[in-house]
Amino acid sequence: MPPYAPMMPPSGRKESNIVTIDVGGQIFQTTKQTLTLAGPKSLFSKILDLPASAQIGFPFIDRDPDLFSILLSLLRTGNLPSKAKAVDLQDLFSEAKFYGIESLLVSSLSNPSQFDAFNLEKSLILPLNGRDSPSAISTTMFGSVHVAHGSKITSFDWSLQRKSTILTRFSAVDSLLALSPSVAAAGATDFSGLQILDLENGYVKETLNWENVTRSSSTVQAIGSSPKFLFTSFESGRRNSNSIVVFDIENLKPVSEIGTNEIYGADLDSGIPATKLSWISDYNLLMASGSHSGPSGVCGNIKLWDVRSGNLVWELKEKVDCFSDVTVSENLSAIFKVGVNSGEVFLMDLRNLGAMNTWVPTGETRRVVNGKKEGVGCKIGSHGNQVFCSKGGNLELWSEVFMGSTIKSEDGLQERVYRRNLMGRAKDMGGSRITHLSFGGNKMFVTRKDQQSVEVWQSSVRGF
Amino acid sequence: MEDGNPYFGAAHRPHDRIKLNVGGKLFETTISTIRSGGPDSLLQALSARPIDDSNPVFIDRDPEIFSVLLSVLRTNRIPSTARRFSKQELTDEALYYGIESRLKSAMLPPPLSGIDASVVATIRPASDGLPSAFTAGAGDGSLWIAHGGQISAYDCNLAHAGTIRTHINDITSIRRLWPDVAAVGSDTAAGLHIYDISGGRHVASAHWTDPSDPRIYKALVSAIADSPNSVYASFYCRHKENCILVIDKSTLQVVSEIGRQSGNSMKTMGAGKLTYMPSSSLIFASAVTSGAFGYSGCIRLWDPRSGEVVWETTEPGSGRSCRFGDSFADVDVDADESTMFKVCSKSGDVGMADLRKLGEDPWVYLRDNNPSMAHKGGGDSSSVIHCYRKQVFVARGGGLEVWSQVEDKETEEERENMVSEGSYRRNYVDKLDDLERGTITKMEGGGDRLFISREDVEGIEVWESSNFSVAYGNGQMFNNNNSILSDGKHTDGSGVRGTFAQAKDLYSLSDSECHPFLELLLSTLFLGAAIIMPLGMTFLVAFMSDYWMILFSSLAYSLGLSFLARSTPPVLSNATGSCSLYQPECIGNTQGVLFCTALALIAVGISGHITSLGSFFTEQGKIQTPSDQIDMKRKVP
Repeated sequence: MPPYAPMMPPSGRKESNIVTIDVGGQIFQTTKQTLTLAGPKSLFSKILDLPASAQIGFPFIDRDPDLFSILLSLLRTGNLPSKAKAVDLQDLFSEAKFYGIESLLVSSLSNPSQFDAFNLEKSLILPLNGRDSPSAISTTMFGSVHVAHGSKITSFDWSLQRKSTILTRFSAVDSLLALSPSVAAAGATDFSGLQILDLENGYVKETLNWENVTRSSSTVQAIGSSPKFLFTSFESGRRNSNSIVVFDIENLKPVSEIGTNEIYGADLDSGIPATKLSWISDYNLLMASGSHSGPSGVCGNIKLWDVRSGNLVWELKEKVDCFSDVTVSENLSAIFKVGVNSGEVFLMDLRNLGAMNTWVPTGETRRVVNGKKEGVGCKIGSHGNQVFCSKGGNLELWSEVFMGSTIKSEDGLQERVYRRNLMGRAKDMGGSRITHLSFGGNKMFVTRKDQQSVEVWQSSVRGF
Repeated sequence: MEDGNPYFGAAHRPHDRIKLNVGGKLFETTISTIRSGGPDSLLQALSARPIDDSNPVFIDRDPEIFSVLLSVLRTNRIPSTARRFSKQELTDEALYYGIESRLKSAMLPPPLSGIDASVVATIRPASDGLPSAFTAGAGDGSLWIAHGGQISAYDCNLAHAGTIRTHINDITSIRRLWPDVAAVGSDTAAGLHIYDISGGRHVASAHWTDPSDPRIYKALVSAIADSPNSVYASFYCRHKENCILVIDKSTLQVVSEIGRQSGNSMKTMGAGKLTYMPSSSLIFASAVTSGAFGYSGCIRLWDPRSGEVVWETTEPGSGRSCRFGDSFADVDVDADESTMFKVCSKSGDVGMADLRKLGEDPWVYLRDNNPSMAHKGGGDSSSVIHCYRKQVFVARGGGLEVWSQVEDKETEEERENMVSEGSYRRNYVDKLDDLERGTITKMEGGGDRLFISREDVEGIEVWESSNFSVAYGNGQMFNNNNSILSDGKHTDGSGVRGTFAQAKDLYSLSDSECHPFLELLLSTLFLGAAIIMPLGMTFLVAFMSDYWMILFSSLAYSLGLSFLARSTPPVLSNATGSCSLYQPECIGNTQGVLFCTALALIAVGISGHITSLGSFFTEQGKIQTPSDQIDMKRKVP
């Protein structure tokens, strides 16, 4: 945006940078630069493209001038003005749709860049009707959220003011991944096949299956996605086989299968299917992790797959203090886990994988493991530069402290300094055990055991 | 109006005026108004352009906000139309036009006057909400709060500007060195650490080291002050060795060490409060401890260049002081007025000393001439004193009072040559309800705001004076009170309810909704115990006679009653020196233990009486008639 329009020669009125629009009888003046910010698909670009000779008077738009002035302020400053508070967000959204600038409105209100981990407050509770508590949750980038509870999936739009609920064939959805605000992939551990659901109309667009040599049906253990592929971890009941199938995300055709395992004899470890699939885009690797609780304790594995070649790049077998949950943070280039026995958060640097694969505790001191399973049910997730970890009903936030290089030896600190913060005010502490953590837009979504609702943690948006 | 007036009614010179087209709306103003925004503003640049009346300069911004900012430029105050916009919005727009300094000065609250101030906001960080230290040092009304290991910055609109996490887990002292840089210290992590708040980075650290003395190890920081060139930090070690380190602001290296003390006596404690006095370039350091024998403390004035003590006093002193035995609980210095004020721990009196005329006993005690406040609140609860804007704010427990000078023309000369202790008047700043929000732990003034933190209360209160009367209806008032109190603790005044309040505190329940339930629970437990115990007691009676049982239960009963009486704060405070009010902060573990023991003893007493009193009386009656005795003997073979 230019600070002001340059002075134009008195004769060159038609060359003027200033655009005058009549909206519902009120005259607005702005510059071409401001209107081009709206994008090529918007109504404004059409106004700008009008040949100068075709203009008789000012272009007239038959809409509410008050709403237009709000949207014009949004174009000028990038933020909604405070007078927008008096207007219902849905009115504003439909008006923005008319002008073709709804994406600007969404990004001004729910931009991932507005996510401020230290300023998150428990701001909203989204109630779910019925008696089922959430079994899976998935978010899109701008903060719309899909929640599976029982056989239903409820979708909230980005403003969290509208919702729709559809019925699925599953008795309970165990894994859910939003492919777009209206399409999601869903699977269950007791129902064969991965279903691609149209959430607006509530029908199954496609069912994807994996068949092993016995041609038996298989159930879905985890879903993940990259910009190009959709990954699904299938497990088949017959011959205890499992596999990660890579589908093309556009046409949903299977591309390849990686990591197909079958249990032969006593080699139980190979039979652990991946229960979490995360795409690491910086390294072009897929992280697949799975764990299994047996008589000798919990054991599991974390594998990094090269999807193109189907090769296993790196593998870590977890025997002692296996992960309860594991996440990868690209911004911090590290894998984080919560130990199931210790309940502590550990990290492993992605930058020097393969050399010495040891977990580094993020905390200052390591507690003595006393055989209790402190970390059972803990969830860990990363978003931005922070790692969020749930301990029972509480939420911890791990953040890196950037230290000047000179003082480390004096203060006896490690190479990377992480510090724990308890999230929430005193009144938000405790509560039922947290079952899912999810991030989208400038919000964090939390579901709790036996609570038929989704908590929304949000940092206050400017002006709202 | 001063900008517009010269042109009013005078012959208009057209080139003095300027037309602006803001977002399609035409504005006309004078060049001097436009230029008053400051030399760097966008409007200044516009006014320098050649004037063309037929084709005004077009600015593509919102015309309504511009009209607000234009009237700020014209009148230097915020017009009422500005209420439609948030402060953040106005600041953003002023930043665009480059006139944010004008807007800032127009938006500042009126001068803080303790006799007319109210809570305008409570700033609560989103997590770890208990503030451990805070600073309003910038003086523009902005605030930095250290809570746990985090530092949250709030700008002059009190809007959240950012939060960073430090490597320290609990920051106990913080000082703003530059607009973006803070120095922090902790009483658990060694050293003084300097953090860049906007970048969220650790910049530098300073440690007190001495290779020749092994006792100087992992020194902690208890207070920080700064002058234009140096940072002063009070360090202390585990064995109480202490000193003040002078750190150069440009190199952030330790320059010198002043006032090293062994810390083995009360006189040589490390300073808990440091203030740099720019007028005399001295450092004011004070230390206070309190124990079973009351408060003790010392005040020193250091010359940082020579490292010498200019003046010092220790309380309780040598007996020369006219207030021997009444040592100060807190002391603060008013650097602008070169006076210091202390609040006495026993009497609660406020003493004043002129820094220019320091001697053996420089204290002059302020006389309280307000009859309505006569002898309310001695020094029995913790006191905090803070000087700001020529006023002395004194917090006693949860209450806040202010000592302010009466502006009087006749005393003007007197004040010049004499300390006018009589011209101070004492008033409450807060309401009675505010007491219940908790003991005030720290106060600091900045930007005509007074920031107050309370013990175990999340957030920091912001007190401001206002020129607007806030008239509200009854319903609203109720809501207001609720919203303020909902985060504080809640207590009941009367005796019985007071004891239940104690019990509630034992369970650390602060939610008012739990009160009826807990009262019911406690009383049911007590009654139930008293009723069910006779069952067991009857078996006891088989071993000892009814007589002993009654004696035993009567003793238990009376012991329980006396315990119950002792558990009330006014009685207990005589013995332990704790505060004597029916308030949650006055109720400690001792009360809890006494109260529960008392209930148990009374239950034993009541049930003992239920068991044995009846049979004892009948037995007594029977003993008097021998025939009955014989009958009884017959019955028992």
